[in-house]
Amino acid sequence: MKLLLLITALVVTQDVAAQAAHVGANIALAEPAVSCALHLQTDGDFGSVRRSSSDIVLDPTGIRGAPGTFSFTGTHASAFTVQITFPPALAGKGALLPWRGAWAQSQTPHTGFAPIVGATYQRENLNATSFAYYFRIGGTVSGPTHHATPGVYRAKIAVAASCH
Amino acid sequence: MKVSLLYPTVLLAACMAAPQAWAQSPSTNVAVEIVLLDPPSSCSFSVQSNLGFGTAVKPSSGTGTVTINAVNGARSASGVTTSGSSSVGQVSLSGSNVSSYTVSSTFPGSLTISGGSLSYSGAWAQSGSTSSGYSSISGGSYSGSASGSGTSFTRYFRFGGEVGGIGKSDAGGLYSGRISTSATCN
Repeated sequence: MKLLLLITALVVTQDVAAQAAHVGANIALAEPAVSCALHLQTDGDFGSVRRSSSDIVLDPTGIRGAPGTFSFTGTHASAFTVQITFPPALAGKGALLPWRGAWAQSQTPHTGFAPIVGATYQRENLNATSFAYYFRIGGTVSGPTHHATPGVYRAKIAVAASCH
Repeated sequence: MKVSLLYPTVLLAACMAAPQAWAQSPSTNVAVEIVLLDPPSSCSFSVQSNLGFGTAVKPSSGTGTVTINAVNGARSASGVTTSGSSSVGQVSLSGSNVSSYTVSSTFPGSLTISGGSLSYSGAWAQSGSTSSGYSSISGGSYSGSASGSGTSFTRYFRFGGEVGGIGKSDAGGLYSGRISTSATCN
């Protein structure tokens, strides 16, 4: 008996259209933290002066005398305001010396001071990451002072600031 | 395998029709068929980590850029400061009975937030090891080979890139996008 075997072999190659995946991507963008601070550097000092009939001036823009100084620094602020409150007089031993406060500002600590008109100094549209402004405080003790009691006369000057 | 039942049927018919023909030698054909298949090839992705640039603080002026190197996963920045942790995107492609494969990736042109966007330029790299030996991939697709039938393989891909044009006027918040990647395995 003859037996013819017919063998068919079929080889199939399969393509696999595989998988897909998604990878998330993100970044958080934060507002810069705004900060600012006042720094007292020196108190003002008219020094020792003789009684006279003239005004006694401590010019905050000049280089003579010892004006009070403070600085105001900050980061990421777009604007700031500095307000000053001058008392009307210096107080001594039961007496008052009338005076007018004056102040000036600069962006460098030792030069370039310009007088500030009024009790408020503002800056807007600041585009720097950080800033530093320097202030000097002086004023004028009104004469005549020849009837004033000798001694030390003092006053406190209030300074406040804000930034955003 | 299919084996025909024709043989016993034909043999029985021959016996009934010619009872005297014992000397004859009947013959017939038996067909045998087999379908031989390769082991099925398969592959699939596993996402290990998403791409995270962390947090960038908007500059007071100018623009900034944050970059994640797809090869080593390092973050760098210019013009902005960054904080928080960052992560390089990473997926693995694993398969069995695969001789060759092609992976394609599509990167978004920007990361978006409601009402805003930041430009994004994607970059990716590949390695046979999960944590080292990555090589940058240029273009949108990568083709590789594996050892074929009876073997398995795993390839690792990292995703990085650069987020640019970060400016003061950009809205704060989380900007996001999606990188799409697909593979064909043969």
